[in-house]
Amino acid sequence: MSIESDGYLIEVDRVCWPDATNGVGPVKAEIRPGEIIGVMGPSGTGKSTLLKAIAGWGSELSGTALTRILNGGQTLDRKEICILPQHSAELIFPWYKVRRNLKIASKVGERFANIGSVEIIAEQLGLSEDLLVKFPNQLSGGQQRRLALGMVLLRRPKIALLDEPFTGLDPDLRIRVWDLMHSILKGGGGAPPMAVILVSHSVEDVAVLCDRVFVLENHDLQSSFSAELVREAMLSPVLPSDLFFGRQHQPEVREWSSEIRGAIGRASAGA
Amino acid sequence: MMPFLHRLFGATIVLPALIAVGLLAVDSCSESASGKFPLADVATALVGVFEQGPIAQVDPFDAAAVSMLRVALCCAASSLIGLALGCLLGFVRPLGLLLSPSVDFVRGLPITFLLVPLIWVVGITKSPIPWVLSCVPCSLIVLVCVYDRTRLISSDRSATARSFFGGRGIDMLRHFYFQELKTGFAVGLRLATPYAVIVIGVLEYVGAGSAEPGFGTMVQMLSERGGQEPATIAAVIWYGFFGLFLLLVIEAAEGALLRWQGN
Repeated sequence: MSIESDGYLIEVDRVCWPDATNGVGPVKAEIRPGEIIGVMGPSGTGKSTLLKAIAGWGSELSGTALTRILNGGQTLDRKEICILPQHSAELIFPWYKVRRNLKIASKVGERFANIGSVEIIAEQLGLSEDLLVKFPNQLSGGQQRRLALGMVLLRRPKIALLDEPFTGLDPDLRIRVWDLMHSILKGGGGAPPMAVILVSHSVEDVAVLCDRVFVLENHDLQSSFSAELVREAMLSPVLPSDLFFGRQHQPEVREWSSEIRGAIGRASAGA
Repeated sequence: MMPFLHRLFGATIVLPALIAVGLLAVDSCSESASGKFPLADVATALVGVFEQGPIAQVDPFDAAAVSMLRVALCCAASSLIGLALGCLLGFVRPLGLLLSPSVDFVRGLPITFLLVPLIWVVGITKSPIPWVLSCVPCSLIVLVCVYDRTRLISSDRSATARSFFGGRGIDMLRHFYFQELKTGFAVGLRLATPYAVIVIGVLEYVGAGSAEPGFGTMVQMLSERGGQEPATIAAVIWYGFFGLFLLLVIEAAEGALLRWQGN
């Protein structure tokens, strides 16, 4: 597979957790700076495992030669990758106040050419001044999610791995955060653009933010679509806009899932 | 501040209650030279211990300072030893696997239980012995607390932090491991302090090792004199208050260090 010198080639071998659950791979994909790739699929199919494998959790996962990430033929340094895990608490430092968490992220990011401002990011994420002086365990789940997202954005890795970053956000805030992410990830404010792999169960998140979408099913990447096709599919009257792949075991949802793939396939053929 | 006040309030209730029970017990079974053992004499002696000047050439203030310094040094040394060993066991996996059954065994024991075999092995009279007897069990308390804390750090959390800091060790140490272990360390120190107060007081009382007389030495001298029961009890009560004060200081420091846990 050829890739331009500024892009990244990600190769993940077959990996799983030590108890052999949620295995995934092998996966091979390329991504460019400023590009956002969505990963969707039913629960338990290995989306989070895939992100962790890409993040380099070699000692936690089972597998051999887990991941290679090449940038212009050179292996990408792991410090250029940062993961926002599904559970925000795994990233946030509970012993520091919200502002200190963001400042640490900003400071770490500076070493990797960050130019983000803590105050601006906090404001855009709806973290007001009175929240900045609280400890994370005084925040609601949605506020903690925003804090964790802000930390990753300020940390400014070359590749950001976001595992369901919009969980717990109300619709208005979700739209604001979409705008913020779009501007930052695409290189707003003079910062170098980030490549993002976004895991989400929400078709809206993926349709609005992503350039390409991978569907992970049966522990493998089954198909890849452009975001335009997803957006077209969303507009199809056949589909509920909040289709939840994770409930495929229910017959009616399996039927929906089949319909969405059919619609995407038809849209693809039409394009 | 509230937990501190809560503890202080608890101490103001519990301590007088314990003292009252003790005095009633003494009252019912002892007699002073003047006949029945009077509670008022103990109350007077509580003030008099520090007013009467040196007791057998031991100044009460100096003795109290010596004892508290010993307790503080014991706590400091035990903290460092316990922290280092706890980290070693927690982060060097083969060592942890090898020694975790022993740590689990120690966790289940009342720590004073260790004093008996320690005294059998090292005796009680030579100079460094009091340090061994007080520091070894205190170190074990801190070790167990720190080791337990290392086991609570999930691999997911440490892997996420590693990814966040780009694998930079100094940041991981400062912002992650140090902060995580602070909790175990503070709890261990708080648990070890009362033990150090008791053991050092008792070792001074039995005349173990050191030439410098502490408060326990003074209590022993008082108890050997005839008709000094009220002063002896008053000195023991004072020693308890010194220990309580030290514990409250450590609790206040713990509260300040771990403010985020109080929310």
